[in-house]
Formats: sequence, C-alpha cells, structure tokens
Amino acid sequence: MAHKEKKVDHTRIIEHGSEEHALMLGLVKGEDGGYELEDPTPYIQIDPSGRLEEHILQQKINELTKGIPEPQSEDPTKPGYGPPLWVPPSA
Amino acid sequence: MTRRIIAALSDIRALQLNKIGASPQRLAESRDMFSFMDRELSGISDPRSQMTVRLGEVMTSADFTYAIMDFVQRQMKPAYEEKRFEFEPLVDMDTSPNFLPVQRYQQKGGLDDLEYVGEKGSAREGYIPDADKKEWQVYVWEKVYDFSMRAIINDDIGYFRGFSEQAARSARRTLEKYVSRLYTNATSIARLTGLGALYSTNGRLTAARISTARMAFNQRVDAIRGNPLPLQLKYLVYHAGLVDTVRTIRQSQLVPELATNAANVIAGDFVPIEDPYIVGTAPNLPWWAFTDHRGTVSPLILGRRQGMPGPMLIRKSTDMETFGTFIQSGRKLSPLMGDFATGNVQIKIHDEWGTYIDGTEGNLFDYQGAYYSSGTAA
Repeated sequence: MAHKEKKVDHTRIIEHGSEEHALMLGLVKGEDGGYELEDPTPYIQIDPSGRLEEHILQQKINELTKGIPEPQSEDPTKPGYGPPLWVPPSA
Repeated sequence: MTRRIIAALSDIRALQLNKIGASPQRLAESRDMFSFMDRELSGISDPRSQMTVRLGEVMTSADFTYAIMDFVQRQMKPAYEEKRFEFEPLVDMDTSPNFLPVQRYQQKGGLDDLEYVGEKGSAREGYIPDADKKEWQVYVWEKVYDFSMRAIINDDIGYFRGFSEQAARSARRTLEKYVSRLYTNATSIARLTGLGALYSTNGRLTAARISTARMAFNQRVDAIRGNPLPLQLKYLVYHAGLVDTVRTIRQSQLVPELATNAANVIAGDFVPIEDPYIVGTAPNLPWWAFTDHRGTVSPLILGRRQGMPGPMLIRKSTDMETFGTFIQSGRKLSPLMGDFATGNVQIKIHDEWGTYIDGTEGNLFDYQGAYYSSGTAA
C-alpha cells in the first residue's frame, strides 16, 4: 500500500563557520588550536618555501571565519548587496 | 563663379560620401542640399522655396564657409553601443497560453529504499513523495513614445532613423536586467546564504573557490529523501570587475592549490558568463555558479506567452483622412501625420515575459541549481 509521505526537509545544510565547513574546506585543527591544511603536501612540493601553503591556508581561514554577509538592499558598496525582489505592484 | 564652386563641392561631397559607404538616400539628400543652395543663389525664383529671405550673391568668405558647413557637414555619428548580457544558457525557457498563472509540477525525490525483510516478515509501507508545485505567469512590459510630426519631417540628419533598432535594444536590455535580477535580488541571495556552505560563500573569486563550489554542487542531496543529486557546476556568472580573474583561471595550465598533480583541473570545466548588471564595488565583487538547466534541475525560469517570442514595435495609425468634398469618401493619411488634435505620432514598444516569484525563494525556481558568493573575503 503506497501512501503520501510527511514532509521532512532533508536538504544538507552546512553552517558557515562550523567544524563541518572547516572540513569541507580541507582545514583541520592543529595542536595549537589553530587551523592547518589537512593535506599541505602538494603546496610544499610546488613551493618548498611554504609561502604558497600559507597563502592557501589564509584564504581558506578567511572564508571560514569571516561569516557570510547579511543580504541587504540598502548600500551597493557594502557586502551582500542585492536589489529588492521585484514583485508586480498589483500582486 | 560661386555656382561653379558649389558644383565642385557637390561632386567632392558625393565622393566623400561614396568613400564612407553612405546610403543612396544620404547621397540624394546631399545632392538636394547643393541644388537648393544653387537655386537660391541663381536668382531664379523656385516656387517650392519657402524662404522669405534670399541668399545674397555677395558674401564674405567667412559667411560662405559658415553656410557650407551648416548645410553639408551635419551628420550623425553612430550611437553608443551597449554591453550585452548573453543570459540564454542560464534560463529554462517556458511558455504559457495566456496571462494567467501556470503551474509546473516536479517530483523531487524517488521512492523509498527497499528494506531487508526477514523470514515470515512483512514489508513496511512505502511512501510516494508529493510533487513540488511551482507557479509563474507572464507580465506585460511597455514604453510609449510621442513624436511631433514636424520633428520627424525636420529630421534631416537621421536622428530618428535608428529608432526601431534602439527599440529592440531597449526591450532586450530590459529583459537582460530582469534576468540578472532573478538571482542578484536580496531574497534569492538570502535563500542561498541561509542554506549554508554548500550553497554560498563569502570569498573572492579564486581557482580554489571555484573548486569548492564545484564540490559543493557535488555534495547536494534532494530535500525529500536525502539522496545525492547529479549536479555539476556548469556556468560561472561574474561581476564585470572579475573578467581578468576568470581569464587567468581559465588560461592557467597549473593551479597548484587545486590538485596534487598541480594541473588546473577546473580550467575548461565551466562556461564563463559576464553579467554587466551585477552591482558591486571592490572588494565586494559577487559571483554566482549555476548548473545546466538542461538536466532536471532548473535554477531559473523565463516564461513567455505562446506566439510572442520577442518584442513588438507598435505604431498608432492616424485618425485623419484627406478629402476633396464633404460627400466624397476620404483617403487615410500616412501615420507620419500623427493625430488630428496635435499631430503627434505615437509609438509603443511591447514585450511579454515573466518568471517564478516567491517571498522565500526569490526567483530561484530550484535553489539546488545555484551557488552564491558575496566576493568579500580575501
């Protein structure tokens, strides 16, 4: 017997700044509590000086920790800007 | 003597116009202008002439130069061109029979997984998910222009000659802005940012972040069952200030941060589309990613009414006619004569399109096909 299903939203949500987000970016917590690249090998192979690794690490940490800007319609020069949703005036 | 100079100038001007590939109409206009000047200077009265003050034979050289310049050297330069937004690959085109809302249903989750049943056990009931219902409708978009009949007739340099092309461009530009706003509006953005890191980020456009976006698409699941979806990042839509960034990413053979073999694995894997209407100021240069709507996920939908694939340029016919006597039937005048009351010529640009609009989803027909970045974090 087939039935209709109760609605449960299974959309996979990874919160910005969460540990799951860090793993998604390839970051793991180091011994000092800060983030490290999960696998720095390819960057060290290409740039033994470590500058590339540092650059990539900082890029990922910024993405993880700066948070997603609140969407706003007031100031086009500020982050998260988008014009208001257009809705027909009569609707 | 002066008439010989005018004849020579007329010939020179004809050669100049021929050289720049001027139209026969433009050549004829130029010839007419010189003929007119020649007639006015000849002293022979021309019944067509409306001039109340005749040109004099005796002019200073400065007067003569001025007259020639004023008659011959006025011409239109080509109008400004505008940047285009080639949005077609991004939108799923649909049609409706009229202006009423149309409904679209889509099953967004399969049946249950099967379950092990032991000896003498009985199978549990399965569930059929509801189809997802989305509604959209077509709206009318117009602009009307009102010309004076005299302005059109006096237009000796062709100022209004490109009006139809401008009208078509105006309709297209409006539609381009409309499509851009489907995803750049604050509600659509809020929908994606609210869904977390698989649907949005804050980072500036880099090769590593395109890779993250690709992996985000790869990890999405359907909302009904939580089953993995076969989604791929197909289109990268970006702010005009990111053109060189995109070009660099696509042309780099090696992008070391992306793979252990150091090859740029994303270079040819997406189609870049510049959206000139995305608003942003450095360092906030937003970018979006979309799937290919030719799969089963349509992030954006653009609807048109059947039989209306593009804009129309509409002219109001004149309400005047010419006649000989009151009892005879009249003859309709050219639309260029305008209306009876004021001589106005009315032209309207008309188009029809619409999309899905929702207070929560914005204009995202299916959020599973979209990814947003505010382009903020370095």
